[in-house]
Amino acid sequence: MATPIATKTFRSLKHNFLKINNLLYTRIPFCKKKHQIIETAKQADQWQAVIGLEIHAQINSASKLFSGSGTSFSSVVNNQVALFDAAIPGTLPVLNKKCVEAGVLTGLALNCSINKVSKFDRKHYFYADLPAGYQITQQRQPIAHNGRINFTVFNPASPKHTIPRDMSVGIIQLQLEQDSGKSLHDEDNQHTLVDLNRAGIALMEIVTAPDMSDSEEAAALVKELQLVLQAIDTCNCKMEEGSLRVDANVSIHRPGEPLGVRTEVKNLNSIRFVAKAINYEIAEHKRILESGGVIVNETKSFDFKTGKTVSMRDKEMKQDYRFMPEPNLPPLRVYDNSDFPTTKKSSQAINIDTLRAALPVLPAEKRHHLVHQQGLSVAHALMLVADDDLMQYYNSVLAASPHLTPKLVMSVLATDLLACLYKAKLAISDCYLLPRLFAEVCSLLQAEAITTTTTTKLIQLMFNGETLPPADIIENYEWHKITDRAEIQRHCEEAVERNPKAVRKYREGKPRYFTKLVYHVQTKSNGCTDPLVVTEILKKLISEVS
Amino acid sequence: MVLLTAREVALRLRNGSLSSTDVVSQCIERSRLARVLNAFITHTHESAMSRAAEADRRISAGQPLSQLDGIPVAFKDNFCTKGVKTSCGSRMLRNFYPPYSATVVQRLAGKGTVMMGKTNMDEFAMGSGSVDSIYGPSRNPWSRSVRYRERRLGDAEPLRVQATSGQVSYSLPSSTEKQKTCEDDETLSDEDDWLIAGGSSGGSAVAVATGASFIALGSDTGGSVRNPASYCGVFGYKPTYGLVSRHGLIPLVNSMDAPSIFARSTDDLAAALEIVAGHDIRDSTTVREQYKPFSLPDDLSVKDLHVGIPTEYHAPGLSQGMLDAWSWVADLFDNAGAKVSRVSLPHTQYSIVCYSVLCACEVASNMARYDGIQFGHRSEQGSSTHALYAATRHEGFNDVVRGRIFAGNYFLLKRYICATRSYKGLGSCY
Repeated sequence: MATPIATKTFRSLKHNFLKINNLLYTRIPFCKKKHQIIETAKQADQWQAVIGLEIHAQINSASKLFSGSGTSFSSVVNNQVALFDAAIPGTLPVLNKKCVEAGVLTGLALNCSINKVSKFDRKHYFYADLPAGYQITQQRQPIAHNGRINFTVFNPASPKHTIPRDMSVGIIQLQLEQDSGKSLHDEDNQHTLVDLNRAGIALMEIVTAPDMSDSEEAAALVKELQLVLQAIDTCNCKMEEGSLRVDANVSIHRPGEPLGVRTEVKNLNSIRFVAKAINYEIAEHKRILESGGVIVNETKSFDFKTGKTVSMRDKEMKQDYRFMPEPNLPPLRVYDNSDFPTTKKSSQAINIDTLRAALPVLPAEKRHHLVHQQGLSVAHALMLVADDDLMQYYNSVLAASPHLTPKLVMSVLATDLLACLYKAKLAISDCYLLPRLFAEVCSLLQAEAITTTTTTKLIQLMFNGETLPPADIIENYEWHKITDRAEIQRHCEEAVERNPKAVRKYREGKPRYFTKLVYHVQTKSNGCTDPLVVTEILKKLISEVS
Repeated sequence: MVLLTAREVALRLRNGSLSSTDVVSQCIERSRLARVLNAFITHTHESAMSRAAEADRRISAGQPLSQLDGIPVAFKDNFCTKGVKTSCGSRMLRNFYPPYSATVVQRLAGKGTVMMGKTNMDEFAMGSGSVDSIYGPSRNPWSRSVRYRERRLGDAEPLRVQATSGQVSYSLPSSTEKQKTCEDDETLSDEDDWLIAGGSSGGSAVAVATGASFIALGSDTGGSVRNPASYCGVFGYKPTYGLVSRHGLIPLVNSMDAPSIFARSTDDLAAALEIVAGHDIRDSTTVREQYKPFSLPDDLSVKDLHVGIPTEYHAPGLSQGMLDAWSWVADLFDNAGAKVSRVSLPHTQYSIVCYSVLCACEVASNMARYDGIQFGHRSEQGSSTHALYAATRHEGFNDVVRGRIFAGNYFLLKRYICATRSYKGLGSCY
């Protein structure tokens, strides 16, 4: 078994010294299982992925970007269509002020420079759900550009991302554009059904720089963007309803070599799919390049049933969109305090400075406050800011009992209450355990009147309907924390006595047997002993006994 | 009566010597007599009569909606008129009955004018002769004039035009003579023996020239109202782009189209302009400033007017008759006290090229919506969406339109930005 691997490694050494560089410094084990690890490590070294995203966010205005028809989600088919949306001849676009404000606000929240003058263009292509044969967009001169989005990459479920890591990705531009209608292909009857309700709804297309190198980073960016847009209320970000859609541009290359050809995966409508599609696409690129193939610049869609990406457009026809300035819309002008026109009615003109002043506290700022002012961990801060309802509950608890340590509250919340909610399949907004009662429990814990184990049991009881105040419950069940050292000592001695095998094994250098002893004490004391004290006493006992 | 101006008729309507119903009936009769000229695609005689009756009620109650209450108007067939076919002279929109009316149509209707019908035009306003319509060409009324017939027989007397205080008078054959000619040959005996009306708003020009309407609207992008106006011997006025709303005007070139007016006197032009001009929230390219109506004084003085005549407009190939007309008009201004000088617009030669490129580009873009899905003609062939599009567009458009779409798409791939820069340069010369 040893020889083939050794030969393999040696051959690789001869042929490609650099690739094996890292491996030279690790032990090369001669065993079957680790063989695969070497291979993947070798491959992982070779390729670097480059990912950029184009995110389409529907603006939650009451009417569309250029017409007065409504924008609600599940409206009767073809009932929210103005004449302009159906491209009836002779109709003209009229710009919706609320949409421009949303664009400016979003640009500001993403640290962009707002262009005081921006222009609209026509992007031409033929498709059944595009009645006019062109989409009005802002290709040349968008409303905002040169921004930045800061977020934290953290996913305990992903091996490479268990430690929170800050990241910053550039926003190339933000542009306003029309959404298209929806076409439903009925293969059986050779029909395409067209619903124009969505045609003309305002979109913000947010183009990020290709600064990401793996799918988790991309997923984290999208999650943060959702939080930002929801905080400023310019988009409801319901991906399942299509109000936020992500296109991912993926390419791979070897370090030091020029960037590879990219492919685009369109219309990803959940964060999970974003990660999956990008992972699949990277693997595809690797597979093609390593088997000597060539990547074709093409557009693909993600089939969530198979977990694969499939090519969308005709490979032979390269689309030329024949961009042309939109002649029916004069240049869009926005102002700030330095040049706000006095003659124009204030209802007509948009002031960037006024909007900036009205920006609410953004997620990044909230997290910063939680970590630095309230002492929470980054992971907990992420959890709170990502869930408005949870944040509200947390704040209510602190408001009910201001003396409580935030860290303690969050600990109990995250460990005990969320476990109950998860088991009962409820959301925090449905939680019947009132914040002030929860606060009472936390107070007891903080005062060291009960242990963490008791806290868990208490929360469970109260969550499941116990109406007695916490102090009374403790009385009834005799769950006071045992502070009498002598009593603890007695329990520990009993544990050592009753578990000689465990004691012996522990002494032999197997730490997991110690847990058995602790467990014995905890069970006998009904969970009312402090594990640290128990540990201290047990260890002393064991060392004495020998 | 029909050779009176709208203003004069309005006076008679108010003093009761004429009724709108009379006027409209007479216009209907004129239209019938001149039908061989093919000015109208659609007649709206029934609704015209009922609107005339309403106007009469208002006027006799002393509550006219405007100066033009009860006056017949006609619209070029590219102005959307609710419930009335709007075809743009094309197979593509032959079955299009708009669900709304253009702003200019609404404004004129709101002031009591009576719509006589929709007039003929070059298909989608592409042309300068009104000969490219699926409804056949419009013919110049002067092709039926005695003078023309005499000229054709070799008796060459130059056309004489007289202008006094803003009103053009011309010697038409007496009404009986004209009637005789029309009744003798209901259809033109010699199919080739007619003159073009000019275009693309030829139908509207003919309607006003024959007295079938007092005022008619057309659209002018590169001369489409001024050209037929001059051919048919009526006034044609193109307002500056942005003065009159284009909402409801099916566009040729969005950045140049201007809804324009035909009439038989300048006072009528001013009266119609007053009604249609001004900011429209549905058209973002209209100027926001409040429109200030004006009336032309009877004793107009041009003493403070400085008229420039570009030397470059004396283009090679200009006919003697045209040169004479220019000289005559220049003298007219000069004698009236205006300052007339020669100026130079050195980039004139590029203007037509610039226009052609920009026009074709916008056409290619504006015509992209005609795919047979939401409205208009739809081909029977439907093996795939693209096959349906191709067949629909081939069947629906004539050669001129298709040619411009091809050219426009080509230019959009390459030269649009250059053309716009030249266009701006030309504008600054003015």
